Amino acid sequence: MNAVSILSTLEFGVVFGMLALSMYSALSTGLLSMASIMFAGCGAFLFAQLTDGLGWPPVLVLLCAAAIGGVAAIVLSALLLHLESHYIAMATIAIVLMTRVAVLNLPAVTGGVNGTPILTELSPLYIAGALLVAVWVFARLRRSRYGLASELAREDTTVASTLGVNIRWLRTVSFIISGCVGGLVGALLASLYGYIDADTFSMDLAFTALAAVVLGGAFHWLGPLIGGVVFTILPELLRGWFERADQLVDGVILVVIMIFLPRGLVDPLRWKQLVRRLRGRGEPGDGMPAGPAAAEPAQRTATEAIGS
Amino acid sequence: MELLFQQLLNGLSLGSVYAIFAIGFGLIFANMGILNVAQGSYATWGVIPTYLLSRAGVPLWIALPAGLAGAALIGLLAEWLAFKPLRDRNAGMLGSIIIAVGIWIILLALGEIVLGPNPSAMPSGAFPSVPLDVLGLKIPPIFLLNWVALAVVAVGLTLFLSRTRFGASIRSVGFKADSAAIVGVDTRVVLSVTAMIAAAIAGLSGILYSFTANNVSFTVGEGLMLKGFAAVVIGGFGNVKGAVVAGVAIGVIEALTQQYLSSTFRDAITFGLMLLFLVVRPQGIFGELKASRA
Amino acid sequence: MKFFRPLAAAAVAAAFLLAGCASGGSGGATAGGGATLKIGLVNPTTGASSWAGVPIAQGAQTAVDEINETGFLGDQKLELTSKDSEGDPATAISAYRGFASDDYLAAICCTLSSEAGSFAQLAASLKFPTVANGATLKGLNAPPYMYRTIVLPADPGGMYAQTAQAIAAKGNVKTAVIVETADNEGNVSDAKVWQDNLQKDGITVLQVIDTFQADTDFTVPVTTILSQNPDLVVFSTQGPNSATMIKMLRERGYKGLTTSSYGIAVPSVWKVGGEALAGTIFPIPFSPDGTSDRTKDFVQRYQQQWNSQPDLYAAQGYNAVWFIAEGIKAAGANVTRQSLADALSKLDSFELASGNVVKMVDGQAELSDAVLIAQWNADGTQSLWK
Repeated sequence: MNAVSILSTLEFGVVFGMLALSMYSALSTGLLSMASIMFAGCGAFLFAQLTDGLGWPPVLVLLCAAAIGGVAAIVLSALLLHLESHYIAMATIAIVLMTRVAVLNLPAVTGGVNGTPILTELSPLYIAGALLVAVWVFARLRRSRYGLASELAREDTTVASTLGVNIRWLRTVSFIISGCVGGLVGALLASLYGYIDADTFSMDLAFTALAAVVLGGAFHWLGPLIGGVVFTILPELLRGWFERADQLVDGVILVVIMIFLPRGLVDPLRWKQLVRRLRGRGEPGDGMPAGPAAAEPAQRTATEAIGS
Repeated sequence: MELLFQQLLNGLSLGSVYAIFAIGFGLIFANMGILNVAQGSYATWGVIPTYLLSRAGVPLWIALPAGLAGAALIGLLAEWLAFKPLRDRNAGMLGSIIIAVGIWIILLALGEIVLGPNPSAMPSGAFPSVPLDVLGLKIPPIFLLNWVALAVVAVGLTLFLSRTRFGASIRSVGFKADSAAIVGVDTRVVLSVTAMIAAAIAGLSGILYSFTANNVSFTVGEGLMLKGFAAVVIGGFGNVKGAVVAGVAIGVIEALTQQYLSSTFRDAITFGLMLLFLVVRPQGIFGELKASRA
Repeated sequence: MKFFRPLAAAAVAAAFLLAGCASGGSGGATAGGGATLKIGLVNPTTGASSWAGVPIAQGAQTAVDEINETGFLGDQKLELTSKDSEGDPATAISAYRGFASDDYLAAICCTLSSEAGSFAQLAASLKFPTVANGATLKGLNAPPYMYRTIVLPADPGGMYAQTAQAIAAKGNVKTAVIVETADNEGNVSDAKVWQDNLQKDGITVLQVIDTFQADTDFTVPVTTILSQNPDLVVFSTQGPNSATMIKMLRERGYKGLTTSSYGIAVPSVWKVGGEALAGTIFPIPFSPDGTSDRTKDFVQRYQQQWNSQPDLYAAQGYNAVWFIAEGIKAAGANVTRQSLADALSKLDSFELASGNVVKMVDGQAELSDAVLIAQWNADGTQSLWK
């Protein structure tokens, strides 16, 4: 087996997973945002300029990529976050489309039609490092006040507002995090692809990331990572079956998951219920007033909570 | 001056196709609460039966309705197999967007398998293609068909929705499905029929586009989707008048931009306008801000 | 299809994982052990350019089989592995890197200019001998590691120049309009060459019209062309789009001359344009009706193997493999990537499938013979112009 290819696949899987993570960050507070792709684009072209162009050290460049993503997110949040959720979704789609036009028309920065070849190849250590940092950030957030507030806001917006949670502030923060992660991912993608152009950061990539989040689940940071890896390996398993088999299966997965497993694969709530069920029902003192069966009707998918 | 008028006609023709698509797209959004991003691929699947039949020599007056029926069937299947189960689980708008993406991917891949990756075209004899010479301007017959089709769809749909009982059922389900059910409306039938009508409209726009642009390809729906989406945003969701005005306007603006400015800006202007409206006036020119349904 | 482009790049990386174990170590500059020399081919066998990619892969395979059968390399055998780039640069690069890190001796790449962008630098940094079989992007050739075996139509005195001259010689063409795909670098630089040559020959270029790769409707540019009423329209755009525009022009009564690069020569383009294409002229580097022995031989082998006639793209694949084989032979025993690279850089001429002998100058094929100009006929066949 070619060690280089295994490594390469893993790298792609992890980086896609992190792109999904960027989208998850926004989705966790109720924002379906394709803007993660635009953030990635900013990070990628900045990476090209700073490493090939100026020769800056990789760690500094990655930090700058994350920073530019964050700045873009701040700008967008001022423009868009006052809208209703589905309008935000549509606006972010429009932004991705305009990003392509912008890339084509800024040849000094992006190479225009010709694209930009990337000569700097980051060692996998940087990807591992980025992953660790991202995971640490999300794990800490989950246990923080911010994490609790966003989980609450996602499950029930009315209760959240009653308790004084500022949804607008939550969304802004989650959007900025989405921006930073997105920018970082863009830089890593540039290194992996070896070539970026106007078509690299397209709606296709956005839908791939979305599919990864849906598959993995939008309730725990592990979900998007797993989703990203699955969607990287899947096309290869299906290659050669018949043409476009991998895309057909991707679409089918999306539909099937949304109907049968809408909370995704990684769902702490479902796991908790499974564990409880395995331990036996109605044990006194297990902390839940009603048995696991009663908890199910209250279960809402991320999408329900957001759509209301 | 003649050039200006000619390009105006080009824009009006293409804009009509965009408008027809936008009407179908807006219909689903307004009455089913679904932002159906798969609508573009319904357009492609309207083209496929018409194309295959035409290539086999079947005359257009049979092939075209067959295409519409094909699209309607696809819309119905999508409704039964995907949107309805999702509605039963109370998934909300974002869930329906996501599942629509899944349907889009599936239909796109199937479309490529059937048509192959290379663009083709409707056979030359299928529809008269020699332009008429009117006052020094060239008007291909397809332009006339586009304008007539737009009028029929726009007026027809408006009358259907406002003057017939079934149309009233559709509007009531769109407003509040539960109340409609209480009053005796069979929401399943209504939603199924709405899905079929919207898909057929999308299919029609796809077929008209493939004749206008001399292009049959599995990507036909994508371009229509973007422009139709922009038209619905700018014109107002669920508003036939808005879709017509915005769709035609986009067609005209694009034609004039390409001729007199640079075509680089053509897409930028369309999407820029769309973004502007989303940020400043999300309900579009003619829409009203609706209170969200509880 | 572009839809799952990012996954495709990753998938190709995974392909080497799942395709079975490769013998020998990874990386390194030596050829695989034993008498089998492996050549990798990266080109679009699916997707929008598969009408070029599939014949190229077939032509390359025909060459490999011919070389093995005739014992051209003695007891050494060639083995060709073809990887689909799906028309996507990132996928192409991924596949190429996979070949380079494995025990392949050389690679063939670059059917499309968009795919070719990064390859010259990559080939040099990986020290991996590579032959570009089709892209017309400027500056791609970079010996000792990167070579290009097609004659550039845009060369001075090359196909476009000779076509422009031939058109001017007719005497009835005074004005022209050029249509280009503004976001395709190859098309844009070709359009410039057309423009320079036409103007040099006394034809006024009235306007250069931009279209875009994603465009599907051309009503507006066609109207613009007609408003200028030129004697000649040059299409530096993708084949099917050129065909659509020609069809629309003819429907609207345009009577002038139309010309394009050989992208318009493929049968699938006829499906788009139909009879309206009759009279459109284009320069071609290869015709299966050619009379040279090499052509006849190639056509016969290809026909037997694939049950269809080879076109100019099949010839491209064929030529690329033969070029590498000549290099291997010249490198002598125990060929390595380095010795192959050196041998290739010393090859200063070789024979194409068309029978023409090209000079290799700085890694780039150059031809000084007269160029064939063909045209479409109303019945869907092609014949020589004039």
